[in-house]
Amino acid sequence: MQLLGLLRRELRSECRQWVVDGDISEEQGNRILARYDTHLDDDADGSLAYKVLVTVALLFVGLAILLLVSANWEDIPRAVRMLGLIATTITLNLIGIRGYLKQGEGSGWLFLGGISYGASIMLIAQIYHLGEHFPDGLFYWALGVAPMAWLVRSRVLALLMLAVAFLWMGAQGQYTPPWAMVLFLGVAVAIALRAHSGGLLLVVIAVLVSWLNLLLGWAYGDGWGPDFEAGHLSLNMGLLALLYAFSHRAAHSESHYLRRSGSLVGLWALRGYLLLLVMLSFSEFSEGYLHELAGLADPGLWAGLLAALLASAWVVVGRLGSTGPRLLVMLLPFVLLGIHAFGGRGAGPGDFTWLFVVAVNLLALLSAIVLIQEGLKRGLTQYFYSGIVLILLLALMRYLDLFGDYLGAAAMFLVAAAVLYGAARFWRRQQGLETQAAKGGCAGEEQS
Amino acid sequence: MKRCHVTGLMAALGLQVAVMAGVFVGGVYPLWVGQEIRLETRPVDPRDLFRGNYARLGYDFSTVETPDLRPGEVVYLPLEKQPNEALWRGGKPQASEPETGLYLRGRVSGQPWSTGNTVKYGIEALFAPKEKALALERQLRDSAVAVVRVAPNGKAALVTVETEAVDN
Repeated sequence: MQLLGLLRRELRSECRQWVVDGDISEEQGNRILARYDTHLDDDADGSLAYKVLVTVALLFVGLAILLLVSANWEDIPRAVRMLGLIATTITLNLIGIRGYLKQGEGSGWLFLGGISYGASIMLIAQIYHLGEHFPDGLFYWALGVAPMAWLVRSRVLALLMLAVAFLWMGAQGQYTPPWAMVLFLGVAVAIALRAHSGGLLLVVIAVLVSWLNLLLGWAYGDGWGPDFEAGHLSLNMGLLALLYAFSHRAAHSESHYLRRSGSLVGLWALRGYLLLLVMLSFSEFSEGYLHELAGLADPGLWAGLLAALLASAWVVVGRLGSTGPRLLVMLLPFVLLGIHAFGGRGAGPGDFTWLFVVAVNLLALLSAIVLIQEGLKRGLTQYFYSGIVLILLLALMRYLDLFGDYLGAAAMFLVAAAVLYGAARFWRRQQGLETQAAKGGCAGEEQS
Repeated sequence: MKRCHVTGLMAALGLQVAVMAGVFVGGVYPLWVGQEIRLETRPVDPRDLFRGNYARLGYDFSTVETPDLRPGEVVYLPLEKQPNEALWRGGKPQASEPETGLYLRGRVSGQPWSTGNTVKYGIEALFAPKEKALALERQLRDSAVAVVRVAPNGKAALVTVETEAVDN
């Protein structure tokens, strides 16, 4: 249901065909499509294609401006080069402002103006040889674009600001913690909410996750620079739980764009969770992870724990998601505490590591079963195929890496087969009960 | 409301112009008020994604043997010149601003290694067209002279790099 919202264009074209074929009436088609915030006459396909192509064309023009500046026209006097580009920046922005005030459009011109503004900063730095390391230039660029993007609620300007701010974060983050990112993230969230843009919200979330990881790196680096440690995995486990809670909260929102962004976030959170499971299912990887943890004093634990506790509270209070994943989110704070209490530096390959890897493999197996069942029950092909791929991947990996040697691996396959068989029997029993209940309901209606 | 919006948009554009002016003044300020000095340097040629090709300039005083400096910390480098020498040399870097004499204001960049750290003074790049930057790298492989202007507050700006032989 949620994922169908992402396929609105395909659904619209299918519905049009059903109407043409006489399978449904036009009114029925519109009623079906209204559930996904669209209708048969919606011409968003054409305008979206136009907008995407124009945006890419503008991006190419912007890149051409940057390359022209980079070519270093030393023969042209400094003042002419500089004043020429500054005048171009002002002109492009004025045309954009005029278009915006008259017709509510003009973000294309403002986007070009934003790139020309950045190119002007880079040109000045080039002309006056302003150092080799110049993250300040990127910061000023993003800072100058932010108010314009906020005032005109432009998604492309917000994306430009975020892209430049992201580059600044990468460059400056090697020297000092990039605290100013909170400003750019805040502006981007405000624009996403005001412009009802699910796509922008998703980009903001991705940048936010990167930023939090970099800040944790600084916590590990102890003021000497970012250091990436095993505890980052703990943080990302907590963040995944938080994203899961957000996606289910957004799914219940009345706004279509929030529901769409919830679907996207849910999908990516699921992929992140599966990737994490697959990585941790390798004994060498888990061994390294547990060995590198700094026990209960690990900053990754407390960052991950905070996110996991927030997520737990959110899913419990809001009764979000289905029982299995909700239980998993609720248990995560305890799991994190357990991992950090029993892991830690000096922990070698021992019983705890072995137990941990077996537990992760069983959890992966259970997750695959739940995904297959949910996929079939709710008709979500993404879930179904994710479950199938996960189960086959697990079988292949465990067969190849021979975890627990021949006998241990054989025992694990037998346990996995028993779990799968049990799940299949349970599934058939449930289906039988549902069919009986449906038949009973129909018979009751006929008698009455 | 509309008038307020127009004012806001004009202020946003004004901010962009002000930032461009600020970057310009920040870059050109040492050229206006600074004292010209000459320093020995050794260039190599990389490319910046936004500003094109440049010759990266290394100085003897770019590395300091003080591993306890943290990235981003400000360092002051007193400059010295003997009466019979043409070139200026860097003295011992210090954490506080020297009370007298000419000095460079730099920032510790990157992670420290076992014996020292790298300090950047904003005079490490000479931007030039690609062919010229490559030619500079070849011509100046052994050593060259960087002409720099240093403002009273230690901020420096690179004027040019000369290919003349270093004679000290």
